[in-house]
Amino acid sequence: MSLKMIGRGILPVLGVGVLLLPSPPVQAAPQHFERHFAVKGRPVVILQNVANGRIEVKSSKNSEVVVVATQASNKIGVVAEQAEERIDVTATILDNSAPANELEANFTLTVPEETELQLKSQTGLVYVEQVMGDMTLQSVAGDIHLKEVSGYIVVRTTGGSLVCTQCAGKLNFNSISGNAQVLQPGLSSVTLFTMSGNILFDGEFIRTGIYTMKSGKGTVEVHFSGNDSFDLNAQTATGTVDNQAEALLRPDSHGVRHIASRFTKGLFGTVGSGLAKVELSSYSGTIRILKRD
Amino acid sequence: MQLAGNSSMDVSLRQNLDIVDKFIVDCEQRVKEQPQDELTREYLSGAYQQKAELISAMMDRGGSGN
Repeated sequence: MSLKMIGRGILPVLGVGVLLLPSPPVQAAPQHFERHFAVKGRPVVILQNVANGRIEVKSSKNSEVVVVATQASNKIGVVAEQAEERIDVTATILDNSAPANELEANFTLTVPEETELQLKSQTGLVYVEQVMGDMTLQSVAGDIHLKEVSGYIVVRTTGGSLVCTQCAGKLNFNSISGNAQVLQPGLSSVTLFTMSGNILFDGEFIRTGIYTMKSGKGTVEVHFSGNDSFDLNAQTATGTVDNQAEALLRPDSHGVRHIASRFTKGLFGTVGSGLAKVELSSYSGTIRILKRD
Repeated sequence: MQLAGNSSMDVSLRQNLDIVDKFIVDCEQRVKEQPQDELTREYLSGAYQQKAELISAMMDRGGSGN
């Protein structure tokens, strides 16, 4: 057999062998998206992130909305459009069969200080800092952290928790298993409901403010100061009320005689002049009322 | 209601549906024992509403009823 013939016989076999060698996994290339939108007044920014990933919103003195997105792969499409003062951003999944780590898109928005927000996230953290304007924030499993924001704030989660630090205006939170922490607030209206999460309110009750906090199975804990002025109504169906501020609580001073239901446990009382209204309730969780040091 | 996916979001939705279902069972039992308990009725009504919203979200993600 000639050398030429051996070559003819071996080379195709080698070629097939090379083709069959396991190839290293193809690394999805991260994608970068950045758009600048000039705005005149108070813009409305709408962001819907169907992919996984976090959304971070910060403010600046500039009259523009900057949208920056980092995508794990090209399996996610990001579209941003402007209609005068409305900026609409959407992240959609282009390939549902892609692995989860390729379906991640993280957003950073820089907006004017006065901006309205409508953000929808799936699993990542939503973080908003120093924005003034009404906002609706929705998440399934991601947490929502707000710092120094004001306006009418609506937060809806399935399992995500809320931490609201130095928030002002009005807050409405609704969740199934998420916790809610409201710290150092300047809120005149608070409505918190969670089915199994815990609630912590640590701050001042503004005079004329209305505060309603309900947890089905979790703990509702309120810390107030001796200078606060509010009427308190705390009721639980099968849980307990732990009032560690009994010395400050007096019978209702407004002449309304509250009669507790014989099916619930609870207390009514007034701290100071009873100017704000505080309603706490649980189905089976503990209600804890504490005076801050 | 079942979701086919195993993403963290599908898992979260299923876990939360389970939480709502157990809470509803608990409240219904209490209402049977104490029909005049208005507070529990209020929680039960809220739980039905939460369940409806959750199922709607699951259907949007491509779940199928069972």
